[in-house]
Amino acid sequence: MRIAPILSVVAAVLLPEICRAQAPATPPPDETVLGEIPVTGSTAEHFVKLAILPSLSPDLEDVVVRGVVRRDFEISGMFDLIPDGKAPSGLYGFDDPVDVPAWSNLGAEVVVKVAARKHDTKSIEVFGVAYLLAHGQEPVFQKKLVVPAADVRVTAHRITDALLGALTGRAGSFASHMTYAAPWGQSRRVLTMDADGHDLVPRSPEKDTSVAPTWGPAGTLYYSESHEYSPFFVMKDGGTAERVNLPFPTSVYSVAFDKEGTKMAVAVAENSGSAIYEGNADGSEMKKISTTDLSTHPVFSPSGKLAWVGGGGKQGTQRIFVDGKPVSPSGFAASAPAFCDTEEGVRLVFTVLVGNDRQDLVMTNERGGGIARLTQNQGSNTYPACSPDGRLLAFFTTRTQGAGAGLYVLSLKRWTTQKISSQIGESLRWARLP
Amino acid sequence: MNTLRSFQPHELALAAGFAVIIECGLSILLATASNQAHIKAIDEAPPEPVPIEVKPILDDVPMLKLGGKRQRAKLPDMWVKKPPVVKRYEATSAPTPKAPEKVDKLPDTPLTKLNKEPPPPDASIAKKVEETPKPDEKPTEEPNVDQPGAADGVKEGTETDPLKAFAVSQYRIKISSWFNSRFKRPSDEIPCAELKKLRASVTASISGERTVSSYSITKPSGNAIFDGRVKSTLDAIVSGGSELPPPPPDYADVLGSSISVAFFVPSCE
Repeated sequence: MRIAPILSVVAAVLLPEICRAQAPATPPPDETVLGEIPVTGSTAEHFVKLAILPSLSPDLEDVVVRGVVRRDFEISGMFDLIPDGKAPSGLYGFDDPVDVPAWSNLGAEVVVKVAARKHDTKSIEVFGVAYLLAHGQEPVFQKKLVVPAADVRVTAHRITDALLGALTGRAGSFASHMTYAAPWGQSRRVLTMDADGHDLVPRSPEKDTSVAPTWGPAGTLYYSESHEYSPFFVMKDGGTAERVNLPFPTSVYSVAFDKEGTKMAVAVAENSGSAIYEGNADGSEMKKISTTDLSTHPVFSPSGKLAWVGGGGKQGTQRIFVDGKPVSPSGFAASAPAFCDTEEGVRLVFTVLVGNDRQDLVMTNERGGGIARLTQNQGSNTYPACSPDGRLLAFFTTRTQGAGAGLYVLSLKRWTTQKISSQIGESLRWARLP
Repeated sequence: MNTLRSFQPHELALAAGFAVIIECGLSILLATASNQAHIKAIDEAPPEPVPIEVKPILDDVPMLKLGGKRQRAKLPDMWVKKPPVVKRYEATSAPTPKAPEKVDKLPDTPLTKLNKEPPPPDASIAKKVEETPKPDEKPTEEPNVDQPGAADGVKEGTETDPLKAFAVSQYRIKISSWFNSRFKRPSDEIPCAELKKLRASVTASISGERTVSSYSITKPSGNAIFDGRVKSTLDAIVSGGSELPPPPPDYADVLGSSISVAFFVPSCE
């Protein structure tokens, strides 16, 4: 009889601890939110109809913001945009309510309102508001940014990114920039520009030869530079260019950083060929990882895999290697690998040499399976680079049809292309703005 | 004349005879001709009513949860004291024997209609009274439930964030498309009418690499061909090792270790 109270006390003390020890660290995901997935064999895809409210404001910042956001949504290919001409008549002041029945009659499921107005003499307020018409007149998302007036374009891109993030669960990446190398007189220079083709600026010295640019940690620009035929050194341009100390006396042809900015990979001249070395982002603890005679163009995947172009000598045609294994189809000279963190998963895009010395873009999964051709019979298409959100693929093309040669972006959702610049170059890279 | 002389008289007579015969023959044919050919119109059978079965398919998207704020108890409408209805009359002008001989300004209100009853002395006069008042717009009723949710939600809903519900529905469409691109309907083996009645439910296990590692048909359709097609589709998916689309980064928890999949063919088009 006396043991019973003691046992109960012991149980009261120990049981919670035992239960706590057995409890899982994180709750299992709620699978019911997905419900039952209907599979009907129909391949027709539904695109959400989205309307961007017209604006009658004559303010320049308002016109710019609305124009930029609308173009971003068009390029993204994520939604069916309702043309401005179909907008129902009504009041479109910033404080006027959304005419839900009128927009619903047009089939709109989502209405987006963007506006900008002066905050004070030097700054502006930029608004982005989203309405789900099924949810009524109350906005489901609002974002307001107060920025210097000169930043109106990039702020409009940031509003688009926020709206895309709210509506899809994956933020957009229009507030981003590209870099590439292009011929400049007798040499080559590194240039940068905004993701919409604006603000093209040469960044490397005019009289030096600069190649293979990339974006490193904290949005810093890196590239390889040769001064008066000296070996190529890696340069870092965070405002003023400075040489990166690497333990290689020979040329370093290109550099790459992983997603977290903790690892660096470089292509180094070696024994009349080149090799890939991988180490810390500051250039320390570099180890050779390639085995082919010629190894160039390293690039990290979002999951940390390292791809490069390898070949030459006994290996024959140059192929794309991922973590040391060839993944591009044998028999085709492949180059310029780039990884895309798409909505369908991670994809590898690279170029293959086809007839008449032209190159075309192909896409595979991370392991080289499920190959799909992205371009055909449209000039030579080179140097793919994916947008940071994985929805767009940029590349240079020499096509003569349509809008002609230049820098194009391809929507990986709709497979439609838009020209954003007339420039043609090489080693294209795309990254978010810091 | 020289031409006529080159023919013999009997040749001329013979030609005239032939000409007369041909002309007479043509005249007879024209006189007796009649159109005997008729195209008979095909009478279309009148449409017969065909009974169809309508099966409502519930949308399994995480439905918005019905929510709002508890409203204070209120009396039924019939007990609520309504404001008194004030009958208003439009200001009009009418001839009167009491009018002065000289007036400074003529009334600008419209002339009253003949034989119209004058308003009562204490009537409320308005400058303009609409003859046909607009019907009262029924205000949107707020749900009288004290729980987080949305006014346009449903009782069975589980998701209180409309943006998440919207984003997850987009992801659900993506997964549906992923399975759809791998499922070939057995349209050539099963008649359409029967095919539309079939439905097979499956639970698929998802691995850490986002591949379908295994599956179980929880509720077969009962049709061997259809179930065989579902099985072969899933076998190919499991052996292929293709990855499902990743969930949106902001809602990475929506894809768990298993998903429910329903195979059916709503229409044969």
